[in-house]
Amino acid sequence: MSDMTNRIQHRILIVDDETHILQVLSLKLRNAGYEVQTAMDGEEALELVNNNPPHLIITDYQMPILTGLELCQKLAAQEETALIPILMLTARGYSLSDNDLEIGNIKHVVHKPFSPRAILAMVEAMLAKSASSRTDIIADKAA
Amino acid sequence: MRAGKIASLLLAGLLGTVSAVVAVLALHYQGIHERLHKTSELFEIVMIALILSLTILLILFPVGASVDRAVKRLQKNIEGGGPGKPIPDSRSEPRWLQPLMGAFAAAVDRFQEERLALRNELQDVRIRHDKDESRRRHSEAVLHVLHDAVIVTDANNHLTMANEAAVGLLELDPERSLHRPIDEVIGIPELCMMIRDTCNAGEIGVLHHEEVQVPLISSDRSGGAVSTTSIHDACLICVEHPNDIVGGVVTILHDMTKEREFIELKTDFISKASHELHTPLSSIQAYIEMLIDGEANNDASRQEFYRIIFEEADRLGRLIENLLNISRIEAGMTQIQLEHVKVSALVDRVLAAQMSAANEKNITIDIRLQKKVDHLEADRDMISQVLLNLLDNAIKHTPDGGRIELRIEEDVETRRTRVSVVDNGPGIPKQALTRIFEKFYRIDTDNPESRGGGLGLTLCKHIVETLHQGTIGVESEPGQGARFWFSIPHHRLEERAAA
Repeated sequence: MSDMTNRIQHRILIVDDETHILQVLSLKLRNAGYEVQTAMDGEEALELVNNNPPHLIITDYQMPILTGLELCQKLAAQEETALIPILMLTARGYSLSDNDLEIGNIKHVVHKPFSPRAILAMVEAMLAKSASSRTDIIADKAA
Repeated sequence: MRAGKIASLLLAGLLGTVSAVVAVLALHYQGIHERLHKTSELFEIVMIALILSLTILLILFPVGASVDRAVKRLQKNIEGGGPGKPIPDSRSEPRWLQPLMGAFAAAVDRFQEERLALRNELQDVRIRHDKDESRRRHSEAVLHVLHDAVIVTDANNHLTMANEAAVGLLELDPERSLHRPIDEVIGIPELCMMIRDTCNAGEIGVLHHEEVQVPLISSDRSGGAVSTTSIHDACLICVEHPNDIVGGVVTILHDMTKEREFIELKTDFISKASHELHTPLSSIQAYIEMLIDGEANNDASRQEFYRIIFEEADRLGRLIENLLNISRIEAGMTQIQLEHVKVSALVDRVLAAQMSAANEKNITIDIRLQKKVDHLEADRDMISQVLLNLLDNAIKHTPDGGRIELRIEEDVETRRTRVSVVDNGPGIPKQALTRIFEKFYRIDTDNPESRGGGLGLTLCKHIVETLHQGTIGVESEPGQGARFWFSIPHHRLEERAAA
């Protein structure tokens, strides 16, 4: 499987109430070959995930209606969405406790201001890891 | 006649009578009574007795008088005696009275000395008592004016003192609570346990700090009872009894609720400010990096990136400016220059700045100026900023093709000029009306496109209320637009000039 085809298979949902962030991240990930969906708040994101679960979610923490953390908690509570890896964006002032991070499947927390380059690298690493862990699960089942 | 003289006369009389009787008896026994039938002989005997009595009287009278005098002097000395008075001189008395008087005077003297010492001691005790009493009152006054609740318990955990704050906080009955076990009078088992534990541990002079929640019953706006809790820092210390044993426990309850709220408010402010400042900065950095990485592959998207970077930098700049202005006003560092600001000039200035934004959305701005309101008494730049902010918000929240009304009129009753900006946008939810002027407050349903930095209205409130002694407010029904208004007093410049 080539790198490119692998990427096209992956769909990433980006959730942020700041259009500029959505725009810049979408462009960066699309240019890298990913399929990108966007949502402006937690509620919209939840709906999109339930309709068609993405392979990875990048979400802002501070959002109206449903915060990023509340979104993660809701996703963790549902069996079919509990394992989707999540990358959380947050302004430095908001401190997330370790407990908060354990609730959802949050793999990384990135403080704003962030580098789109760094986000792309993280996304690639996270997807590679989750792909390998998925292979492990399949292998376990086969055994 | 003094007692001494009466006594000596009585004594003389008595002695005379006795000698007469003795003489009669003597004569009788000597067998001469046969001769008594003769009157002259009886007369002789009576005369002898009288002479004898008189002689005795003459001898005794001066004795009585001198005793009387001596007694009088002693009396005088005792009555008038005091510290520093000379000891009565016994040498002026008759010789035979001198030893008695001397001894007596010495006794009186000792008595006087002892009396003097006792009097001094009494005075000392009184002074000490007054001092202790004033000290006690002083400490009690200090305890009673303290906002912190102070309770003192004895070695048996019985309540021995509670200041006013404690009586109020713990709902104690000041009459009946004293000298009763704490478990019976203090309705907070947690606190009772802390006091008992401190008393049992008996570590004299060692302070223990613990947190305790005190249930409070307060009334809400509609008069109903609401139970809340307040967080207190309980500081407990074992006090020593004079005999080296535990005398009891002093407990001080310091209300931390306000401090906690303040810390939360501060933390909340820092978090929000951090978020608001980081967001535009994030965009700027991200877009610049995208340009560097060549992610914008055509001129149009590059131009778009430049525009976004510029706008975000501008947004960041305004946010910082607002934050600094609010902080300066809050710190009392902002001075305003009150002047007559011509209403027409003010409106022209504000409209010129906002016209393009209004035209872009096809919004009509209706200007309604009351003719008699020719000027505002305000700081020109500050008041322009308020009006600009209100108009900017109205344009942002008014749908395309909508209408905004700007009214300036005089409120004769309050002697104020009232400026209103009315829009026909989506309106403001009821729960947001009271909070809309708070720093970084945002309505959840707000369209992200029309969002500002969250400080514009806070700054307006500060400028109107803190700097111009005016009032700012908002009225809105969801779905029916919003009316933001402010009123500022006028005729202040004339009053100031007259003063």
